[in-house]
Amino acid sequence: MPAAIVTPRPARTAAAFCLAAALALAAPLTALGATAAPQPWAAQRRARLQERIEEAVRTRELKFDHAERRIGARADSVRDLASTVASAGGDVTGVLNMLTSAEESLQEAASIEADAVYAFRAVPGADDRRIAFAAARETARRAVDELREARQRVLGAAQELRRIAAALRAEQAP
Amino acid sequence: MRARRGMRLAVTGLAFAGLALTATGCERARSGGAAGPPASVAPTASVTATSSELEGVERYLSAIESELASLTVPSDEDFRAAEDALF
Repeated sequence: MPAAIVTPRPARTAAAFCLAAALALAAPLTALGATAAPQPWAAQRRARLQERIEEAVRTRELKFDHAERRIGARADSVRDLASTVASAGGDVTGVLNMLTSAEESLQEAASIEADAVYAFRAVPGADDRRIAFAAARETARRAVDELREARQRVLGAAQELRRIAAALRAEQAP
Repeated sequence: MRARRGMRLAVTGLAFAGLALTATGCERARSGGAAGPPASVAPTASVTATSSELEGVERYLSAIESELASLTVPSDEDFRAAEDALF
């Protein structure tokens, strides 16, 4: 009678323990694999681009709004000062015209900037992202050019008004 | 009876007084003399005030010019990180 192959008791216990442990670990790992399936590379890249564009738009909006508000506020200040100079007898027609065109430039800049933001946000979904990005950047540049134009016009109005005020004061000097 | 007549007279008097005051007010407003010093005093005082006011205006304008000259505007750098993600 052949000797029966009998596994020693401690070895059987160890095998049972390993099997149980393997089963216990397998369930959560399977679940994890189901929920965090790796995204395709292109989708990941698109998501990263979207994220960076949103971040850039937020930063840019802060800067643009700040500059736009400052220029607008200074245009209002120069307009108030122009009424003081006018009441002292100065001709401020040219100054007021410059301020009006500065305000038009500001409005134009804000409108172009809104177009640029829209164009940037559309880049990740565009067929040719490089071309879409270049076009959006060009629109953003035009917005900044218009903002600079508004600033120059308010600056010019302030310089002109100061010249008029100085001339009036010189006339009034005894 | 007498009291009622007195009352009617008082009301009529008040109405006339009101009309007279309104007419005076309109006349002063029309001539632009409703407020401010008499015309003989105004010019000297006005020139002094205007001169110092103009000086203040010049200083304020100078500050505005400095602020506008140093104001930073957005640039292409704002989208550099997005551009890096693109290429």
